[in-house]
Amino acid sequence: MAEAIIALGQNYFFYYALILFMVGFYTTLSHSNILKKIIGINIMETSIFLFFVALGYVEGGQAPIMGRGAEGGPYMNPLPSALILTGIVVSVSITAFALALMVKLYQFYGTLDADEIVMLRGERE
Amino acid sequence: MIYQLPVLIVVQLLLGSFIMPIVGRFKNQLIPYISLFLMGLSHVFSIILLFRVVQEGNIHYHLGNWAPPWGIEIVADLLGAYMAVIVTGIGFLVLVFAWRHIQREINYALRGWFYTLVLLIAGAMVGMVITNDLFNMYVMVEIVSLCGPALVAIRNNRLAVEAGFKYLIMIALGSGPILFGIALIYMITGHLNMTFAGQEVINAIQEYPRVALLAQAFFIVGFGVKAALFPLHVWLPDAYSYAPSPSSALLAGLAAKVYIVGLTRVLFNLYGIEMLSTTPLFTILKIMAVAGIIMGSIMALNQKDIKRLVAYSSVAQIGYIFLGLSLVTGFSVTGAVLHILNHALIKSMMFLCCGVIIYQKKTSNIDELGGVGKEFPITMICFGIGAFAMVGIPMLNGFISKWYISLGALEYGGLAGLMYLLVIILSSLLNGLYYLPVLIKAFLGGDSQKETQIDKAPITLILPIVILAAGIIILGLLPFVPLQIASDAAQHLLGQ
Amino acid sequence: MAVLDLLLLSILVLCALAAVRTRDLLGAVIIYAAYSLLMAIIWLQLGSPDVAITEAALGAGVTTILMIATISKTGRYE
Repeated sequence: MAEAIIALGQNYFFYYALILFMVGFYTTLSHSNILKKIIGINIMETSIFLFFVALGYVEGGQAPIMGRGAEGGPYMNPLPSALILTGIVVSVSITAFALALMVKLYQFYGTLDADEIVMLRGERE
Repeated sequence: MIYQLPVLIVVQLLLGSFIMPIVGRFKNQLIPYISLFLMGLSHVFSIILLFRVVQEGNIHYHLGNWAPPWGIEIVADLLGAYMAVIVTGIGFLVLVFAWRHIQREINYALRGWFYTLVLLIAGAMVGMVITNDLFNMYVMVEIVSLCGPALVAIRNNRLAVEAGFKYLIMIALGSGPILFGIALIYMITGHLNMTFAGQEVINAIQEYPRVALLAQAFFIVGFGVKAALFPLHVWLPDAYSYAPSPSSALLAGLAAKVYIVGLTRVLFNLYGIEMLSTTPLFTILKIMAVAGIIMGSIMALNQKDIKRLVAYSSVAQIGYIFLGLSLVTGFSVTGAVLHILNHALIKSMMFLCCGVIIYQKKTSNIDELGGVGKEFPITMICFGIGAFAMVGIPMLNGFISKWYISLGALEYGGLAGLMYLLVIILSSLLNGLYYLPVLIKAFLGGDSQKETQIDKAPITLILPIVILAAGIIILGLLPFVPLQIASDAAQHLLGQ
Repeated sequence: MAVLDLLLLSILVLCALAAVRTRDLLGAVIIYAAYSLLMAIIWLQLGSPDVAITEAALGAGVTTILMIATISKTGRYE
C-alpha cells in the first residue's frame, strides 16, 4: 500500500492524463451537440500528448537544446517531443475537417443537435 | 533500384496526389490520365517487388541511411508486397470505373479532388503495410483515416455528409487508443522499431505485465473501430451505402483490410505468439469475430437497399478474417490472408455492379429492381458470380479461403473447433439466404416484355467488372500462386 | 516545482470540465483556448519548448479561429 502512494506521488502526470482522456472520451460519446463532440476529441488527443511527453521527463534534466557551450548534464528525452509535433498536426487536421463537415450539416439539416439530425434523416429516407 | 522500390511506390503516389490540384488549376482534362498512369505504374512496380520478395527474401530499406534504432526502417516482406499488389491493382480498376461514373454522382468542382483523394489513400495504404516503425504506421493510419470520410462526404448530399461525419468521429475515437498503445509500448520497451521492441518486450512483460496487457487492449479497440470489428462496426452500413460507388468499392475492398494487416503486424511481429497465448486476448477476438459473422448476416436479411445489403455482408466477411487470424493455426492464418485478397476482389466488384445499376436506373431499392437481369445481362451475371463466390460455391475463389479457415477450425480441435466450423457453415447458408432473392428478382422478376439490351453503359464501366469477375473465376480454378504466397506469409507470421 | 505542476494540472481538469458543460458555444471555445494555453505552459514545465510553441500556435491559435468561424456560420447557443 505504501508503494502505491509513493508511485502516485511520483507519476501524477499520468493520472491526470488518464482523467482528461476519460473526460474527453465520455464527452464525445454522450453530448448531443456536434461542437461539443469535436471539443471532446481535442481534449482526448491533447491528454494523450500529455501522457507521451511526460514519459520523457528526466529528474533534474534540462530542455534538449544545444546552446552556446551547453555540454553535459542530463537532458530530457527529445524523442517524444518530435513525435508529438506530428500528433498535434494530425489532431488539428481532424478538427478542421470535422468543423467543415459541421458547417455542411447545418446547411442541410438546420440544426446542430445529433439526435435531431438522426431523426430528421430517418423521416426523409 | 530494386532496393528502393517500396519507397518509390509510396513517394510517387503521394507526389502525384500533391500535384493534382496544380494540374487541375491549368488543365482540368489531364487529371484522370495522370492518375491512371501513376496508379498503373505503381501496380507494375509492386508486381516486380512481389517477384523479388518471393525469390530472394525481405527487402530492408533505411530511410535517410540511418540504421534502425535511430532511423525509420521499411521492410517489404511477403505480406507487405502482397497487400501492395492488391491495393494498387484494385485502385487502378476503380479509377478506370470512376472515369465516366463520377460525372453522375459528384459535382463538377469536386471531381479533381476525387482523384487526389484516391491517389493519397492508395499511397498511404501501401505505406502502412510495408513499414516496420510504429510511429510511421500511426502517421499512415491517420492519412487513410482522414481520406476515408472525405471519400464518403464528397457526394455532397444530406445523407452522405451525415454518414461521413459519423465515420469521421468514430475513426477519430479510434486514433486515440492507437496512440496511447504506442505510448505504452514506448514506455516499457524504449524502442519504436517493431523488431527491436519485440526483442525488448520479452523482458518487459516480466516486470510490467499489466502495462503490456493494457497496450494490447488499446490496440485492439483502436484498430477494431477502424476495421469494423463486431460491436464497433456501427459506422459501416451508412458510410458504404451513401458514398459514391467507386469510393465504396475502394473503401470496402481495401481500407477495412489494411487496418487488419496493421493489427496483425503489431500483435504477431511485436508481441509474438508465445506471449499472446498467456492472455485471454485471442478468446475475446474469437468471440467478437463469431458475433460479427452471425449478426452481420442476420442484419443483412431485412435490408431493402442493395448497397446496404452488400455493406452488412462486408461486416460478416471481416468477421471471417478476424476468426481466421485469431485461431492461431497454420491453415486458418493462410485462409485469412487469402480471404483478404478474395474479399477485396468480390466486394469491389459487387459495389461496382451496384454502381452500374444505380447509374442507369436511378434507384437502389431492391423491390424496384425487378427484371434488371434482362436489361443488364453482363452486370448481373458478374453480380451473381460474386454472390456465389461469397457463399462459397466450389470453383470460385471464396470457397478456397473458407475451406482453409474451416480446416484451421478443425485443426484447432476440441468442441470449440467444431462450434466454429458450425458457425462458418451456418453463415454460408445465411449468405445464400439474402443474396438469392436479389438474383431471383433480377433475373425472373419484372415484366417480360422488355427487350433485352446489352449494357448501354459505357465500356469503361463494364470492363473493370468483367476483369474482376474473370479474376474471381481464375483464382477459383488455379489458386496456386496466391495460395503459396499466403501460406508462406502465414508461416512467417507464426514465427516458423 | 511540483506544486506549480499540480496546480496547473488541477486547473486544467477544471477547464476541460467547464468547456464541455457550457451551453454558450462561444464561451466553450474561449475556455478551450484557455485550456490549450495551460497545456502549453505544462509542456514548458516538462522541458519541451518546441511542443509548447506548436501547441500555442495551433491549439490556442488555429483551432480557436476555425471554431469561431464555424460558430459564426451556425448557431451560437446550444
